[in-house]
Amino acid sequence: MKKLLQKLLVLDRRWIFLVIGLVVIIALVAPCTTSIGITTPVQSFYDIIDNAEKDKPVLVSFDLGPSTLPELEPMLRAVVRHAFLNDVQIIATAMLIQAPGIAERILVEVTEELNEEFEDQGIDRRIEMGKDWVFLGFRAGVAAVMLGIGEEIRNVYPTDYYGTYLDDVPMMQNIHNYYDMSAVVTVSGTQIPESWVMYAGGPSGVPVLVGVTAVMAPNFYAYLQTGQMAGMLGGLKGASEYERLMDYDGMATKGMIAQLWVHVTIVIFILLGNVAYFVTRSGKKKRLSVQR
Amino acid sequence: MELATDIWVWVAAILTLFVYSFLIKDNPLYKFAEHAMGGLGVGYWTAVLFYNVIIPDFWEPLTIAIRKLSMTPQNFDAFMAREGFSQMPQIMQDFSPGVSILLLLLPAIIGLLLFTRYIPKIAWISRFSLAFYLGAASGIAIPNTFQTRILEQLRGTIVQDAPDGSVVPLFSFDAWRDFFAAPGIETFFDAISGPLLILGVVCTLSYFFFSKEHKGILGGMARIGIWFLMIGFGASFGYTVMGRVSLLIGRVQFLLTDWLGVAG
Amino acid sequence: MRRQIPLVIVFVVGLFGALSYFIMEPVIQDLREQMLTWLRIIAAFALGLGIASFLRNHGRRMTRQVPGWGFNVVAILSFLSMTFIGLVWGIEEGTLFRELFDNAQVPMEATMFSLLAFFIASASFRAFRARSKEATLLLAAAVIVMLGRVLDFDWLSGITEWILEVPNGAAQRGIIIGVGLGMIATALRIILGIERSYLGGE
Repeated sequence: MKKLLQKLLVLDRRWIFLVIGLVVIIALVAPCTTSIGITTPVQSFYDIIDNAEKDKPVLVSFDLGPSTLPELEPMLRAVVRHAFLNDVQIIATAMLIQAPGIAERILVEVTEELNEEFEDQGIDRRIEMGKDWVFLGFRAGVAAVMLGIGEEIRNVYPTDYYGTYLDDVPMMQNIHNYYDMSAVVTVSGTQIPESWVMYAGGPSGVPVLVGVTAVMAPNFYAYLQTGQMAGMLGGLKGASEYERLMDYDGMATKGMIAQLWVHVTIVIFILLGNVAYFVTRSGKKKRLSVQR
Repeated sequence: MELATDIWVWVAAILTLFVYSFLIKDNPLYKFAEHAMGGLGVGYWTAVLFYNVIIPDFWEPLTIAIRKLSMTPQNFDAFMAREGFSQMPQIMQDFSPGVSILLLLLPAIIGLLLFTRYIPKIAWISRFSLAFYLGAASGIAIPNTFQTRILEQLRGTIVQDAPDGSVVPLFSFDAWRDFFAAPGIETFFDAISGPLLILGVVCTLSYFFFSKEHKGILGGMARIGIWFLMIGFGASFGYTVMGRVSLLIGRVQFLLTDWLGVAG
Repeated sequence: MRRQIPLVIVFVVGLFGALSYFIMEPVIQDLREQMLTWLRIIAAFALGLGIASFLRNHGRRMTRQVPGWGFNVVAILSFLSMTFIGLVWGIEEGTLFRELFDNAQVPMEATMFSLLAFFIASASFRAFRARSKEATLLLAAAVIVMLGRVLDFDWLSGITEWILEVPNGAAQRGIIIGVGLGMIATALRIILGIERSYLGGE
């Protein structure tokens, strides 16, 4: 037994890679489901979007790059979809230079997806750019941009991404700064959500809702307790909870089954590693004392 | 199983596999992907910077201001109509064309001077630009950082906003009264959470206090601080695993669903 | 001169940036607004610096033909083609630029980061040991959070949420306040000219 454990300790790591890869593939192909419990930060996030006033848009800042996309895209899709279904308009911005392409694609895809659904269900409603959403694109200088929007959004973004003046965009007629918005949503794998709290939420009091990668999520709990962040979606789990609240089977819900099985596998790895370590170590100690 | 017919899906899938080939060992396919990724990424930056910043923030207002100065009013109006500019740039609504040009050119010159750092003989000029940038960024950061990270966080360690809008102390006698009236797991955690949070913040801060040697009371507090930090790092580690695994799931989902068409 | 003038600029601009937060005079607020605009424009040029240093690094390796310089050619060619395609045909949805971004750049970068899942699994097995009291605490918190986020048992979710809110929240708050004080101190040191490392050598 001890020999087996010793062998286990010097196992080529590629075997571990193989196990992880197989677990993910099998979990995604197998027809399993998992139940998803709702946590308070997600519920608060959802409630604020759900109760947003119709003539006060939500600013959704796409503050992400390709490296965190698989984790953050599901929450962006869910939030944008939720807002549109509730007739809440979206002002989309990007604080990271990698983000505009991602932002535009998600906005366009969700719009098309919903319009198709409306058509199939015979509902007389279409999501339109300019009426339901406006995309403003990227500006450099994070803090300066956020403070600038707090004064007058036109100072920072005179036009939208496509060059249309904001005064010519129907939904932007009476929108000037954070006081005219229901909330600021920021989705990011960086420290940018903290900047939104510092330069938008703090000075103006607009609720800041954050969607963050799991890596960042624990860092922000202190801001949730003070209300500086009014809600949070942490990683794929946060996104899957949001999808549950919307009763929508999106990318996150499907991914959570694989997430469950990989976590269980990694916990087993940790336990095995520790058992092997302590069993073989106690053996070494005994041998040492005999030699003495 | 229904293989993708879109050529772009195949491009994405093949490049994905190039990157995963690193798991077996470092190899030219991976290196190719790594370098192509860097190049495409920076190329993407350049184009976005051009269309999202240089054109709307600088080039358009500058050309309009110059035309306003150099053209007759009729010709200028004709130019604006021809180019589809329905309004004056923001800066020209506040300043005369001459001042606007100056206010646009100055920051651009300061920005351009940053590049002198690549020419050893005049590299010192870039310090002027850097000084402006650092000074402004540091200056605007101070009040907001103090408000967000210090004042609000300290307030949250003393009191808490209740759902009904009232402000309650974090060390709640009511919660302890409830616990003694009906001892149970839930009332116990309700009572203990506030005081523990206060203790944790104070002890973690004492761990970061390096001006005095960690001995005696301070040493004890710093030690408790380490325990809190360890739980925090543990939680972060757990979450980090979750995040990395989510990224993997996302890519495998793409390969299985979009490319191979085996899972929906 | 070469050192004094930057110190004066940093002091004046920095002091104005901090104080203008509190003074609601229209003149001061207009000036502040202008300063923010400048800051945005200069920040864009700073991003340009990143592009320049990318070209410099790869260009140097290419011209000196260091081993593996072929890959530096790949990097430069990818950069040139992406930039050219973007500047000539535009960057909106449906353009070639966007197809390249969505189907080459995004998958490669996302996959690159997903590699970490394998390495973190391997590290969990090899290095994550309960060697001391502190390490055990860390390990226990990690395992509870890992399982608590994916298994839907009320009691486990409750414990996980409590760990995140209370002990983790307290530790994070300690870090937030500590780092916040550090940030303010650094900003003040820069403005007052005590911190001068950005000036570099002579």
